[in-house]
Amino acid sequence: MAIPPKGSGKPPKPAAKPPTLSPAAPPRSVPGKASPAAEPSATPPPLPRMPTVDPTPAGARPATRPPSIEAVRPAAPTEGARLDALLAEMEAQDYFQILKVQKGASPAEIKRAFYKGSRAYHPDRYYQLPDLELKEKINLVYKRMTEAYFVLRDDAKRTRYVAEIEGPERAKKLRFTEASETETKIAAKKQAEEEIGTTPKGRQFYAAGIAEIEAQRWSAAERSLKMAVTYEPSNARYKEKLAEAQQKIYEEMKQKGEAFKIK
Amino acid sequence: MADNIAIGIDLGTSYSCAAVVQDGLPMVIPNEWGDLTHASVVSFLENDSVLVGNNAKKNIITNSECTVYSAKRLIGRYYFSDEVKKAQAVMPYQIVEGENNSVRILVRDRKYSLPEISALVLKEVKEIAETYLGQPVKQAVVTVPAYFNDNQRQATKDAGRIAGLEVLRIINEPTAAALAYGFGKALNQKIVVYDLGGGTFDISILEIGKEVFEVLATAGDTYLGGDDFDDRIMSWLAEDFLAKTGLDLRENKYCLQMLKDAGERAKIDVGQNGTADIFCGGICQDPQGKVMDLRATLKEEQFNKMVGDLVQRTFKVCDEALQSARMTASDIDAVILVGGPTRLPVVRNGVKHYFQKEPLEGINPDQVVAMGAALQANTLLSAGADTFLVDVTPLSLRVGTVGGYTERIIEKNTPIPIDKSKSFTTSRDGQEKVKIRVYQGESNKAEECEMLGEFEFSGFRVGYRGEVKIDVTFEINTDGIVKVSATDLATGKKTSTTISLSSGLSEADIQRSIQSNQATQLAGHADPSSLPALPG
Repeated sequence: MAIPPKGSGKPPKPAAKPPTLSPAAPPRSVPGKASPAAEPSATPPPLPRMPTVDPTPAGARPATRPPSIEAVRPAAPTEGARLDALLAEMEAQDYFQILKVQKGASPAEIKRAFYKGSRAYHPDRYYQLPDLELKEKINLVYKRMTEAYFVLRDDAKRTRYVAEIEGPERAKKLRFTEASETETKIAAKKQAEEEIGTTPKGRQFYAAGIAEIEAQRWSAAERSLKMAVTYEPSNARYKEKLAEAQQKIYEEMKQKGEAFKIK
Repeated sequence: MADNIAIGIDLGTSYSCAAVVQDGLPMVIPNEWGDLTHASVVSFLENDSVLVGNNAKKNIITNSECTVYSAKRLIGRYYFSDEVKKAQAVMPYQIVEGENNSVRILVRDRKYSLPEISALVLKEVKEIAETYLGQPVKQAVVTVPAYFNDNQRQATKDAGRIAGLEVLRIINEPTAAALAYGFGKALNQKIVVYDLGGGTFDISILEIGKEVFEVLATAGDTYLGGDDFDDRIMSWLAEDFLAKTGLDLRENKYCLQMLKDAGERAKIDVGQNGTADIFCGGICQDPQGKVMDLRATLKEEQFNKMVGDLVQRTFKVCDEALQSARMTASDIDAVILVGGPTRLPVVRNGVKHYFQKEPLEGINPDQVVAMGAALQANTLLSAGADTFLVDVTPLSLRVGTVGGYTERIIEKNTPIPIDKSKSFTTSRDGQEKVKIRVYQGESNKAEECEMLGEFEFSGFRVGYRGEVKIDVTFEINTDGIVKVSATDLATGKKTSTTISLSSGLSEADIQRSIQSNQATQLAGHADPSSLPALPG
């Protein structure tokens, strides 16, 4: 789509030319900690359902280990390593895997899974943690969970996301990127235009054509729709209906022909 | 008592309130006169001392030019914003322009920033708490309207720092109210918090469980509050007076203050008794020097008509929130009212009618927010506490693009904390820096959004245009505060800069303000350190 939003309006200023690669995979880019461990996981993941290589899966033992700071504090270095591993793993996981739910999970299950994750990783529970680095790691884990929850709880977003991760570019689509507003708007406008047409005459002929189709007067429908298409040659919806009418005419002709054929 | 203690502060437009958790239960802290709420009014006295609270409120009329109130309406706003212009017309104190389009208040030849004014209110509240608890208070959770943008949140946080408080967390007022309502009750409900304060209106829809308080949607109007109700009465009184005597009371700031005071009292009387007798003795003089009084009677019906459209405006916002949460009014299990104006029958009945539900009784609309904040403060202090809040960002986060447009990065009502990244590239060969403007709002036009700041990222590898890729991460943390950082991925080097968009106060400004705040003597309190020095 050629609506590259540029970074800044004023010419004299150095302009940032932003999202040219719009829905391109935003590589995991939180500055700082997660990166060294994050590299190896960049390979596309032919992962099975639940790659729980993690010794303590997120939320698997919510009440015992993670929430208690007392438990975390002495074990800080190992806890840090565990979180690094978890973060690295999350790089290659889709949102279902991050929340540890099945692909077909119901909204209630997703909510429950997110609450379970929150119980284990919500930053409020680690407020008193003296180790800032560890705290940041927990925060990173939790941010991925809220992100997953935000996408999966919304039907429209979820549908789009599922389609994306099941496609060939799965590795690039693990993190949901919303279609840019302008693109969505253009698409919606196009759809509306096709539905109602852009010219009054085209609209009129199209309406007549539809009425004829409903009355099963196919050749009359064809005439009206042909007129409609002349007014709006690019309207896909009009063309579709025209094709439909023509198909019917062809079928009828064929039937008639067969009927007259002497066997 | 525990050696570190954290209080919850509801820093309101007209009144502030503090609470603390003792033995697991939140309680509101009274001042030495037993007042539970303290006017958010700061009066600068002639002897360089500062009077804050209910006593300062009396000075709005007598010392109007040096008494600052409703500072929350101005905090975190740009000088050119509508709210500031409106305030300039009605406020008796002087509102002037500071650096970078910020707002300053000029009192006795000294310019104060808004965080400094709010810090004085916080300092008063802090001292009240210290007197009551008998120990220093250094930490607090401060609440803000849910619909506050990043600038306003930052400025509030700065105010806390200036007052010598470590602000553990900024939480949203409706969320705090819900916390106070549902804490320890093991409920499983969908609730609405209808928060009509002195200057702002917020609505939040929450799902509360045993340990989770999840905000499903929030919406608001930062230009709508109880003050607007007062304004309506004021205008009515002034018009009436003008018609009768030919004198416009609004031309004189002293008269205006008396009118405002009368308006506020009339509002409360009408709410309580269904009628209000208004009397302002000696409000002005006619050209012959004859002293005039203002008398009027306001009936409930008349008042309801006056403010009907304001109440209706809140329901438009409710529609929006319900829509965001994909719910209808009938899905709601309980309605909580917060803020003084919700005591008015016209508001109460409106809410009842809209949600088809009697609002909950037994919740004090002035105190519930502070109590929720205290609970949250307590949660943060105690290790491994078992409640957690999942709040949302009230406004969409955007970046500026070409031609005065913006592109949405994070949608409103997204749960926080969250981050989103976007790749940017250079537009010229050899470009050394990129500039990114960050906005908050719901319009794709930059001018209709609130600009949070502009940040410049440099120090990446210089290359041909389009070749250098910079990854910009936008983060909203648990305070609802925005952080932007940039990373150059092309070189594999992590040259990242993290810029918190500031509230117009530089770090040096804040440090200076902290110094001056500490030096400020609040009148009406015996400063413990000065006690021994008093002449016996």
